[in-house]
Amino acid sequence: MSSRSASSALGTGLKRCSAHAAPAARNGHIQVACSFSTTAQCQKTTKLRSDMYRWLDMKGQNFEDSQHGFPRYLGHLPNQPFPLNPLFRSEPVLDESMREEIYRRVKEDKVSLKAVSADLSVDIRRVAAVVRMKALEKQWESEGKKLAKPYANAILCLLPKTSYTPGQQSIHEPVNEIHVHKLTTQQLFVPVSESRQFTREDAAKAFHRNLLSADARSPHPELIELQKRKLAGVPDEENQGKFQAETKAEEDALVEKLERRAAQEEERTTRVDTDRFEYRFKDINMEVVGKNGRGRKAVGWRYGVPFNDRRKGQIKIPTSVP
Amino acid sequence: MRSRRPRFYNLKRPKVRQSWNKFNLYNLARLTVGPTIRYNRTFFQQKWIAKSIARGYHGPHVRERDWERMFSRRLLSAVELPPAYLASHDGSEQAAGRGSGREHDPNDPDPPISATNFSPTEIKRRSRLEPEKKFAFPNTFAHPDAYYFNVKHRTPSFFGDPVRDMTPYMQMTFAPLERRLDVAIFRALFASSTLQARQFCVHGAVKVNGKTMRHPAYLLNPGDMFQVDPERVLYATGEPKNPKEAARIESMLKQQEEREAAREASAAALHAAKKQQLAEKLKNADQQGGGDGPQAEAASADTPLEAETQAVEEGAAAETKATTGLDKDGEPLTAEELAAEHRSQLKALIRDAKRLLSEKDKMGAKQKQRVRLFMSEAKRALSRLGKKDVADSLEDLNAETTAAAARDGLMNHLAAILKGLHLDQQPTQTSAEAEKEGEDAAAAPRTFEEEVEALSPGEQAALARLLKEDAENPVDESKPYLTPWRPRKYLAPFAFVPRYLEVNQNICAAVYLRHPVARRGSAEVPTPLPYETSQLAFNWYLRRR
Repeated sequence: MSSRSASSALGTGLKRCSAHAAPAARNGHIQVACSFSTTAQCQKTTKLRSDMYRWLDMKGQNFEDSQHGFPRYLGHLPNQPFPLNPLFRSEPVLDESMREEIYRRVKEDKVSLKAVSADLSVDIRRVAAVVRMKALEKQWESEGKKLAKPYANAILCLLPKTSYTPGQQSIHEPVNEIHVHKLTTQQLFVPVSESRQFTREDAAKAFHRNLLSADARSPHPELIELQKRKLAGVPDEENQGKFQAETKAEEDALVEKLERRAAQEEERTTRVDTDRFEYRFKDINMEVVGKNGRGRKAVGWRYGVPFNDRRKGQIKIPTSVP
Repeated sequence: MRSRRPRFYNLKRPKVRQSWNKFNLYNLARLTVGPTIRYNRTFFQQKWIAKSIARGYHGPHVRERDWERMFSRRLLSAVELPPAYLASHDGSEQAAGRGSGREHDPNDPDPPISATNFSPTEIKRRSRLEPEKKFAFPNTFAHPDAYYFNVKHRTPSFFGDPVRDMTPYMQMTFAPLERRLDVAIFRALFASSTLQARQFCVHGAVKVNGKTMRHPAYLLNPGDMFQVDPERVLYATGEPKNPKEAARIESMLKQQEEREAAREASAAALHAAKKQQLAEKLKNADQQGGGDGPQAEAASADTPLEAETQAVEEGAAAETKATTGLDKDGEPLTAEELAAEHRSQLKALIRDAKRLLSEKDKMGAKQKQRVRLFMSEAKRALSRLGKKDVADSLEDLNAETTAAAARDGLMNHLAAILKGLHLDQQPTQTSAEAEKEGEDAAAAPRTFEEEVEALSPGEQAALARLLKEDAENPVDESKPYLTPWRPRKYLAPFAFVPRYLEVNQNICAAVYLRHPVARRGSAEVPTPLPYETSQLAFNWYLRRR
């Protein structure tokens, strides 16, 4: 695609040169009304195109060079990429130093993801993603695979960044965000007595009997506990230690659970390795196919149950990649 | 619409697209969709125009029916609840008084209790908004109605503040499309347009969680990691090759080759004449002495192995010529001639290596590997010799000597690889031989180190920097983009990464962290449309059929 655009850019460049040679033609004054007119028809370039090139030469000049970069956008405000939409801003991304620091803390210092997230003010999911991709990057390096370094340098120059400076608190994004639950978007009038302490738990119950309160839906419940202990006057050192230990224990338990599950799965599987394929046999419960033979968790094809995967509207794109 | 239509980037009836095209940049810069669609139109017309503009940007390659199926009227948003607030308040203060919090005394210096006062990010946002409020563009934030109201009545902006602090749900109308794999690739800055991202998927250059995913319509789940082949990314985001420049270089190389061929032909003719003379002399001698002539010497090499050794010998001879820097006639060679000499040497070696590779049975896997390594190294060297970069970038140093040193080092390296090839002629390899090979590999940089030590510290540093840059971003004519790689023009205004993605540019991978959400004062879906246009589009899709 870019080669095509390159050739078209060349072509337009040529037309442009000729446009400069004939300014009258460029403005579109020449219009052939009669077939016997000897005046040449204006084929060079349209007014719209010449306007565009004038804009590119004047204001667009600012955006042409992307090699020696700093973030620059079309909008009126410094971090606004779309001129008409001030509600979308280009937010800072984690730079190389921050990614390295996150990876170091998680992999070398063995700090829990939640502790890293709380300390650096980066979302837990983002911390996990950074570690995952950094590990892959290190693997590529050890394998001698080539990284796209020039690309990374160029792009990171053009983006606003959050960088890590030791001993300085940087705020990348809020860590304790909760989704606005569908049930809570309706307006509700609940009469209660004036003397009653109507807390967040009560509010959640008022919306729905099973709805959890904001505290229970928090991704960082340990951080709330930390703040509570802080208010209770627990010394900072001890408080932090406890927080670290709690989050680490939770993470370890989760890892152990996953490993146990994988081991159980492995136990249930019989592997037969031929030189070309590895066959894996598992016990299947035939009851899960259900009454109509179309149970979602059922395996294989059943006699007498026609496929409907060629029917109209059947989507065959996978919904998840394990 | 599955592919780019003829007037995809239209100047007459402009539509903003998901693309880094410069026509698109111009269209985006002059986009105005306020009064033209709002006034003198029925509500239906307004909605239709708004939806048409919106769909020009959000998934024009997705069929309308498909998008309608994806559309959801439940828009996602998130609120921050600072842990410090949750720990210190149980929320009952919000229900105090008549049910919506106690009324705040205006004379009270302390601000009313609210979660926002505990949040550093919200405080940061407010401080950032302060200067923007006084900004020279009064309608930046205001509702479009407010703008006309202000212009007419010359009153200060009235609607601005609530718009600034609300959660812009309507900007989330096209959030479901951001889940699509091709759109996510474009948002992660791995492709120059969504259509190109789509092509990368279809061509099998995209992996999701390590498995090739050929469906551009795959909807990413939170936590999915997608990778694009770095070569494709470099092609998509790099400066394109200039076809004229490429043609010029091609013709230059062709001329050079022709000249070389002519020279070789003349040399061969000379050689043949000499041989004939020699043969005649020998014949005369035979006739005189009656002994056997050394026919084996004159016979051509019939086995490829012999041919190879002969070629290496030839190469060695040429190398000695090049290193001594003397011509046949004993005159010193110029720099160009030297370079040309090197190139012809390398080419001969590559040719021989290819011939060796085509002999399938005679070589073991290790040997083949070695030959391939040699070929790739030699080819890279060849492409580098064509450029004058090495000499040009070292202005402050003695450029010629450094370039020559680098070249010699390279030749030594190649020679070491070739030597390794000769050592293990047997197809079966013992561990001792493998060790020997390792030693050889170690020997090559040792000689190179010696050469480097001969340079001054400044020269060494410059050489190191140059080699590092070159290793990261080499000149390579075989690539489909301009080398050394540099970003394409007009990239800067489109360079932003939304928060629902975490991107690692080094390996061209990104993780889809979560679905995009709206927050107070900002929506995560990148859209060029103002609030009210999105609202109209949302209303179009909201209708029940």
